Amino acid sequence: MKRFDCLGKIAKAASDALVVTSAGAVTLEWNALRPSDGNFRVRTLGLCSSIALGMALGLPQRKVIALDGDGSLLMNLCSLPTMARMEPKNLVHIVFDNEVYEASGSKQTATATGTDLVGIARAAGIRQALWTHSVDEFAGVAMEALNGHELFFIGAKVTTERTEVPPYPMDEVENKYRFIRHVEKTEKIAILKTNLPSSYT
Amino acid sequence: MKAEGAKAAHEAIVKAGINFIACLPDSAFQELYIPLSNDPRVTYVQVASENDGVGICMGAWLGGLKPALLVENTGFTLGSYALMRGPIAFGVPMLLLISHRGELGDERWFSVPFGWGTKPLLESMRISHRSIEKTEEVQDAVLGAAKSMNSLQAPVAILFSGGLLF
Repeated sequence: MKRFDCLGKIAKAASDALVVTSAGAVTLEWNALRPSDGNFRVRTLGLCSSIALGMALGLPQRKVIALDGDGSLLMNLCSLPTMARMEPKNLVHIVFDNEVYEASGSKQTATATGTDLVGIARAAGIRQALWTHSVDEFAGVAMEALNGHELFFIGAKVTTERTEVPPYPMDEVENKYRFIRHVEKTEKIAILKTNLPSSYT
Repeated sequence: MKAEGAKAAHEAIVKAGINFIACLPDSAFQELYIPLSNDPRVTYVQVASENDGVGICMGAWLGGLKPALLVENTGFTLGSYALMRGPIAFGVPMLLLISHRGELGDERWFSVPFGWGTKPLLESMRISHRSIEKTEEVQDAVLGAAKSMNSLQAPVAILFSGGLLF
């Protein structure tokens, strides 16, 4: 199962969901399939699940998708009990498990030697935590999650194959501003406010 | 934490518009985090790691909330990775409310290395911060920090120290 094929199955259905992506090629592949200012690239291991959880709690009426990796989630396993405890019904946490640290030399992660991330998520208290084993099965479960109103954790064992796509077109700060302006516009809220000294007003 | 200081901090946090708290229960902040966890004006998220708490606060800000992380300085050091990779790199505001254990006079001798390390770590990370020791300083510090985190588009910190804690 290729990650790019899985992503392709949900790109349209994701609609206006806010999408937080982890380090590695998943960001580039997702952005090629669904270019949007509603994409937020974390670019490091560990924080994807936490940021997506906070975002989902901040915008409970908006679907939030975390596109995570095995190496990233292994660094932040303690986010899973918190996610289970808060149980945001608008969050879909997808983990593409290729069993390697893909961006840094492809050495095996612990999932290659038996660590079961879906098992950990389930044991942490996430009720809808399941593995998918084919692109069609992934698409079916992901559609159920995207159309539903329940916290989902979806595991997908994928190959290490990468798809050639363009590089990510911006740095962190630009990504933040574009993302925030997108949220402000689509949610009709104000997030960024500049404090002007009284002599300026 | 002394009850009077905790009450002042609670009131100032709400007055500053903070509406989201991520916290890892800390003995010094008991008098503050327990009432905050029961306050319907704030969303309270109890985390299992300060690193996770930084990420959750960052996501909450991106989702339109005004977040604060309430932690001991020991946990602040643990959260330094997430701070540098997350809110500092992206320029995301959040209020860091830190109990500054391990200063002179603190009976918890095992916190002393964190007493030494906290301010230099904040400075090396270029996090603007203020250390307070008296109840009278609390409101001004919290309101000022909440304003500055927005102006700076960055995390800012308040260290609750000495007379406020013990």
